[in-house]
Amino acid sequence: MENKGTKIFIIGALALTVVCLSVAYAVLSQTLSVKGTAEVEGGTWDVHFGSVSKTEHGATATYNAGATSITNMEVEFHQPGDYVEITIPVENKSSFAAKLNEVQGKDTALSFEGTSEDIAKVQSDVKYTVKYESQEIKSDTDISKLTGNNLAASSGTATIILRAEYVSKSTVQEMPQADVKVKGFDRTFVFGQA
Amino acid sequence: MNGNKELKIVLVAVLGVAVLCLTVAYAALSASLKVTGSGTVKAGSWNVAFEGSTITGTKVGSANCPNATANGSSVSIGTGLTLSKPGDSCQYNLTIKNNGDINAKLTSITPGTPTPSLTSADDNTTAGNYTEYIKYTITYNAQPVTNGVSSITDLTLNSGLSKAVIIKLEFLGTATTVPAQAISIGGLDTTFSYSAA
Repeated sequence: MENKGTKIFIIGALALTVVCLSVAYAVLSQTLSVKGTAEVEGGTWDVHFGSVSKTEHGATATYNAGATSITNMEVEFHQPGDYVEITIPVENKSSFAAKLNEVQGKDTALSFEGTSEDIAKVQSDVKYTVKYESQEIKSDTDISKLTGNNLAASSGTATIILRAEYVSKSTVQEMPQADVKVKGFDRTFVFGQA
Repeated sequence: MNGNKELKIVLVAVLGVAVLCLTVAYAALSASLKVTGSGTVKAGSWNVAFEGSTITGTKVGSANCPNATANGSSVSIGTGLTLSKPGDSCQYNLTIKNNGDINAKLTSITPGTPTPSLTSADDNTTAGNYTEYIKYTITYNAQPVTNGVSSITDLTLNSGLSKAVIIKLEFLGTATTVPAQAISIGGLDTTFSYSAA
C-alpha cells in the first residue's frame, strides 16, 4: 500500500518533471527574424518629338505633328531642283538616359506608282535621306555606332532631318505626263533605356 | 507545420508578384517615334505666254496705231503703223504670264533695232537720216531694257505670275525735218526667252 502511494507520487513527480522539462525545453527555443522594407524608386519615361519645322524650296510639305508620331506627311514636287527639309527634334524628359536602338524602315527603298513611262522619267531623280545628328541613316548603318546616340536623363536632345528632293541634273529631264506617287518615306525611331 | 507551409505559400506569392511587377515595368521602357508619309511628283506643265488676244495701241499725236494680235507665243502689230510728224508715238502694253506649274526665269531679251528704209526710191530722202529720230523702247517689269537681260534685276517668273512689257515706237520731237515720203521702219522684232528656273 505504501509502495503504491510511492509509485503514484513518483510517477506524478516524473510526469511533473517531464512536463517541466518539456516546458523548459519549449521555452529554450528562440525565433530569430530579419525585418525590413524595400522600394522601387518612382521615375518617368518620356521620349518624344519636339516642335517640328520645315524648309521648302520649290517642293511643298504638309503633315500632322504629334509628340510620338508625325503622320500624313505629303510632299509635292513640281520640277527638278525642288526639295523640302523637315527638322524633327527629339527630347528625353525621362528620369533615365535614353538611347536610340533601332530605326525601322531604313531598309525600305522608294517605290513609285504611275504609268511605266512616267515612272521611268522620275524614279532615278527622287531622293529621300534621313539624318540623325547629321549622320545619314542608310540601310547598312550600324545604329549603335552613331554619335549622339545617348540622350541624357531629363534634358537630352537629338535632331532628325528628313530631306525629300527631286534632283536637278544638267541633262534633259522629261516631266511626267501624269502625277507619280512616291512611297517609302516611313521611319520609326525606337528608343530604349541607355 | 501548417504554419510553415502557409508561410512558404505566402512568400512564393509575394516573390511571384514582385517579379511580375519588375518585368512589366522594364518592358515599358521603350519608345517608338514614328514618321509616316509619301510624296508626289506632279505632272509637268510648261506654258509661258503673252496674255490676251487683242492689244490696243495707244497713240500720241497723229500716229496711227493698229491693234496688235497675241496668240500665246507671239504678238503681231497690225500693218499700217504710221508716225506722221515729230512727237508721234505708238505704245503697246503687253502681259507675259507663266500659266504652267513650273517656275520660269527670263534668260534673254533680244530687242529689235529700228531700221528705216525708203518705200520707194527718192533722191531727196535718205532713210538713214532719220534713224536718230526714231526711238524704239522696251520696258520689262518697269525697267528699261538698255542692255538685254542684264538690265533686269528680277528675272523670275514663277508659276501663276505675270510681268508687264511695254513696247513704244516714237518719232522724236527733236526731229528738225520730216521725210518727203514714207519711210518704212523694220527690224522691230523683239524676243523674250524663258527657261525653267
